[in-house]
Amino acid sequence: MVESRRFLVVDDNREFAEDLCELLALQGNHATVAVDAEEALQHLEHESFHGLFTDLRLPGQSGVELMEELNRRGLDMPTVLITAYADENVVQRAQSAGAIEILSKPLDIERWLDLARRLTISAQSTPANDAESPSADSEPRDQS
Amino acid sequence: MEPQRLDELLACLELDSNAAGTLAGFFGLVKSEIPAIIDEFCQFITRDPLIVRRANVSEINLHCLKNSLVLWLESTLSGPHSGAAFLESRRRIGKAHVQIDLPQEVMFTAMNCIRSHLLTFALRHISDLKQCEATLLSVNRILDLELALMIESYRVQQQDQIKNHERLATIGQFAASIGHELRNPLGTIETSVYLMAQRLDRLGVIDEGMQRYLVKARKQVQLCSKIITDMLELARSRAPQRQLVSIERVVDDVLDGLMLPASVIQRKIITPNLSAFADPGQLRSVIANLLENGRDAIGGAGTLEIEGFPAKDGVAIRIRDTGPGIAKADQPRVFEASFTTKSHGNGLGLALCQRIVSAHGGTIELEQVASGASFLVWLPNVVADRAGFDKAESTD
Repeated sequence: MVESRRFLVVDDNREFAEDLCELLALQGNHATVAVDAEEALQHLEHESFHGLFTDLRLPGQSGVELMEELNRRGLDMPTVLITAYADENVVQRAQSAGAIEILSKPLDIERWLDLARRLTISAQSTPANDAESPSADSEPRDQS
Repeated sequence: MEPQRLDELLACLELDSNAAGTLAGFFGLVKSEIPAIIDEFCQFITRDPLIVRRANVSEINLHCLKNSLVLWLESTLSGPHSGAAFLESRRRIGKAHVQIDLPQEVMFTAMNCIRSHLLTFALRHISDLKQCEATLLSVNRILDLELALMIESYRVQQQDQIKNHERLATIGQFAASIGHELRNPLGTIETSVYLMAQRLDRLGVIDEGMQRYLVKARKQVQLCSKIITDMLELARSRAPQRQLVSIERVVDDVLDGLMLPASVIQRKIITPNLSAFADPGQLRSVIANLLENGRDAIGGAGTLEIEGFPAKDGVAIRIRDTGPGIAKADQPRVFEASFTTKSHGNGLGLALCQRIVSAHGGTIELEQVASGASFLVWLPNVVADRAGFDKAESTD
């Protein structure tokens, strides 16, 4: 049986983030909401997560900047960027920061659920900030 | 041009009733020669590859061009050279020049060609020296007037076009930002509707009405999303990332996703190995929009025809349907953003097609056909160096 995984969902649209958490919970996971990068980093200081779903446009630091910050801190975890504003520059920067997928809003929910399922299975049992060098075994994929 | 300005110009050029009389007399002499002069003029302009490309010169429209040039030269010599009808006809000429993006220097060389033919004719056929001198002077002056009007109306039309582009760009930026903003709440509606369906399922609620409403809500969210995507694509006007693209492959790819009912006959005639130097995604978008329009126009049953063939230093793609066609009154507006004849269309499709095709240096036109609708797209193999577009490219 797949163990429960912990995910962090970052979106300034709290209603959307809560929906994603609920969807993750339906799959037997636990998810926490953060409405900006600062709150996300606070959670990450105190808790450990198996994966991150973040919006691109956030008040203050953007989703990509949050990813870059996590890389600097050595918190390498599978990250999915969800955005209403995907353009080629964003896609490129997010990929360099290690995003395993970039999804557009409104979400293709079935695709997202499938991705969340794969993340759940591939996430190592020890979450990011507890492990030496954790990473998902999903290969980065182009947005299609 | 204001009628008052025209009067000033006429006075400045001393194009008075005497000059008009001289021109009318000369017109009587030269009238039968005018078609020959225009023929030579057309030979002259069709030697210039730039004009041929811009003016989309073909056998058919060369014939139309000759006819209208004969009428123009006849009216230039016979007069009258003032009045609303005269100004309107010159304004239309200016508009046509702007539409084909005719370089202004061409107007001078082309006018010179007509001028030298008329002057040579006058010198050869008018033996009275005074009469000949008056004719040469009047011909020169009237052609100067025509040139002045042509340049002026070109300038006015071009300014209008620039203003229109700027207005559209501003609206586009505004629309793009609204579109982006709307994707966020739409995303929440989508996830919430999904969760609602899941919850009903878990609670064991089986209610057909409820299911129907949820399906409807999801479909409408998808429709909104498609409108936003089209609008953003239209506003973004991304420069094409060209590569060699197989026309057949793109058409097949679009047809696969189109899910045409069996009652629609699909006829595909594409020259083997036909390829265009184009942005694959953008080309796909053009073909998909045209085929979707054709499918929607046909309704239940009919024929959807796709042709692809080499044409005039480029590639032509024709998409034709046997639907009701486009009403004559609607035809000039089909490429305008937000114009639609469909009850569920957003009116962005053809505007997007035109934007993409122009960015490739090509043309898209609604063809005159006896029934149904036919769109012809032409994409050049090599792109002319033109402001706002890419530099000339080759396939190396």
